[in-house]
Amino acid sequence: MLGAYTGKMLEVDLGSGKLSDVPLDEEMAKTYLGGKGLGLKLVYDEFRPDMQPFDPDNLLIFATGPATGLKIPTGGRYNIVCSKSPQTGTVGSGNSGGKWGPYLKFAGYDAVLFRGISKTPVYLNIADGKAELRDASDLWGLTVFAVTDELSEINGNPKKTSVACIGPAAENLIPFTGIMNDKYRTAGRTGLGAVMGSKKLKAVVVTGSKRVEPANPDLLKERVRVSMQKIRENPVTGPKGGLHTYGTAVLVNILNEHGAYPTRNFREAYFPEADEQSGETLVEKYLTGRSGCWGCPIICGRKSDVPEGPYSVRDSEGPEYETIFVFGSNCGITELDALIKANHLCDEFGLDTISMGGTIACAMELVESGKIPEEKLQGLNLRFGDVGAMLDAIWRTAYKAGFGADLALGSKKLAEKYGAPELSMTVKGLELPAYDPRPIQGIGLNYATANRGGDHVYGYTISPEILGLPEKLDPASIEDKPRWTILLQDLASAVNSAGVCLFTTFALGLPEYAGMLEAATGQALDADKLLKLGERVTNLERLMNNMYGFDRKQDTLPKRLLKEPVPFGPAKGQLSRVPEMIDEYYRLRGWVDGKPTEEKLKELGLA
Amino acid sequence: MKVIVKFLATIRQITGEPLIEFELRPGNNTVWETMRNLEFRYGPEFKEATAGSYPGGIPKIRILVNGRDIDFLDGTGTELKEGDVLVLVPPVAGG
Ligand code: SF4
Repeated sequence: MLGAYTGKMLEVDLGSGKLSDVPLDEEMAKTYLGGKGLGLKLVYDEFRPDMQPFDPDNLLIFATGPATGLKIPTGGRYNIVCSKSPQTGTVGSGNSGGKWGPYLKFAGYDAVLFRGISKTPVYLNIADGKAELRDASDLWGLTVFAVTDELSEINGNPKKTSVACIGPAAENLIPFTGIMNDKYRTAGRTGLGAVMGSKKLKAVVVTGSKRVEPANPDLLKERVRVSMQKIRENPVTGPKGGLHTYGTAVLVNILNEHGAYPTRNFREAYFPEADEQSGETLVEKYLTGRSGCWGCPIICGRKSDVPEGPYSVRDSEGPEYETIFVFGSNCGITELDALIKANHLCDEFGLDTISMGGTIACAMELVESGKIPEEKLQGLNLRFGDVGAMLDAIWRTAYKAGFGADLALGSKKLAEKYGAPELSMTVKGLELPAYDPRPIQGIGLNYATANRGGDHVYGYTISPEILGLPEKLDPASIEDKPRWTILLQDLASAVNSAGVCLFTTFALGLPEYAGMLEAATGQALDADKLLKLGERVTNLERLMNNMYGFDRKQDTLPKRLLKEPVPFGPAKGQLSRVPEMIDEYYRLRGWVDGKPTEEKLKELGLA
Repeated sequence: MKVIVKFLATIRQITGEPLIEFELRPGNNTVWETMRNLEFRYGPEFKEATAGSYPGGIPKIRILVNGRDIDFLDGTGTELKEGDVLVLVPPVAGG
């Protein structure tokens, strides 16, 4: 077997309760690395175009990459993939940090694959190579924090234990729920939590102490040294760098000053009060410490406290930039302490913050435009700027209480139900993140074409377009954006298959990743080969989505972003120009109408 | 002629204020001249934090005028008008 892998996967049939060790196919590891690529390939091998999200055959796969658990900077990450997302109808995927991925590997497995549905609630415990399904009836209904506390000590070694679990919202099959690990880390998007909930699987506990060996330890050490130096010297990722000092929330003011900070359900793109909810204000008023994932030298996480007042909350983590925008400007709300509270509630119930906030903002606009009759709201005053209603809406959604049952549909179905589908700011049913695509052309193209729907980290063009990394691109221009979008999408696919954090891309490039992975696995790798691997992963995901019926029709943005110019602020008058870029994107991809050609599939070894 | 200058992240730590209204003399109103004025006002620490690049070539700051990076306008020769907003952005990132 290659270095850096345990060489073993665990298959769990929740229907029969049978657990089996299966060898990790070496060829598969070479072709897809691990993480997202491996998960997608396992899904593809059992693909059924008529799959339903809560079908027992919907596979749920937790997969580490070769970097996970090694001394590679940010090697603390893992991916979760499912055959069919309840939110988008595409293949589902998400990735997370914390320490769950490394401890799965130390417990003896590269990946865990779940199939079937358990009759009663269960959790899986994997301790030093021994896996066991256990009754979780007493845990069903507990919040994420409570179940994590309950299970962290079961193997007598909490330091070497990590819990991934779902909250009550996922048990209630809300389609925009994540899988949470180490309390605050989330594989948040595409409703993976609901798939886990449908399987009656409450948690997966991992404990282990067996380190995995790289193929060439000396070479790896040297290559890690070079990468670490780049990370340390970089003003963004270094010890006193922007990410460590301010966290992702530093983007609030930056995007707002570009006129690209989505506001009131993307009606506007500038929020005059943005500074009050910025990363700078978070540091000044609520930050109590910083937290990082396993093996991370960057440490971008926030520990936060709201010590008093109506939104008081202790020992919280976050909020990230996305969460601040989505419950803040996007709901017309300024108060940062309330946003910390909203984030905390979502973490407790296991809700994806972006989709939760996007759905509330959509509901607020539906109410204000008279589409949702007052009596339907049962007293919930869902209007832009109403903090109480926003916070109320979160727990109501988790438990489908009152109007929460409608919010639990997600913004796409909610807007359709009330006769205004154009007010849902989604792509493929996934609520859009915190960058208005009207003044930033590349990110719009990425949202439109991302396989898992409206998603920024699928291909983070913000890096060159707004942050100027690795080079500065004019955000307002469409020139060369299809090529950049493709490059960044395939880079992200490779990074997510390797098991490292996307934030290292601010300091490292393909040659550094390829060098470290080569030393770790023993497989000959270079920048081109790694990028090709990323392209294969993106195309494989696209191929499966095509078989689910997705093509050019879904590769677009909400009408508002194509037709309603930004009304005021620095980006006044701008519109997304995705329709002008999409054909060039397809041409460069080797796709026709959103579908990889036979030739492209052959080139990538997919046909 | 008045313009607004906003300071983000680490630059704000140096200036101690998030924004200022700044008086420019006509004929002395490019971004370059404004930066020199700001250096005079905030001293050497400000100059150290804003001028030039980090090793590896990342510029110490990016400058926006009314939301546009000056690299896509006239660079430091970009002329400011009454009411313009100048934003100084140190290298930061997120996701
Ligand atoms: S940069 Fe942040 S998200 Fe990425 S691994 Fe480090 S702490 Fe986790």
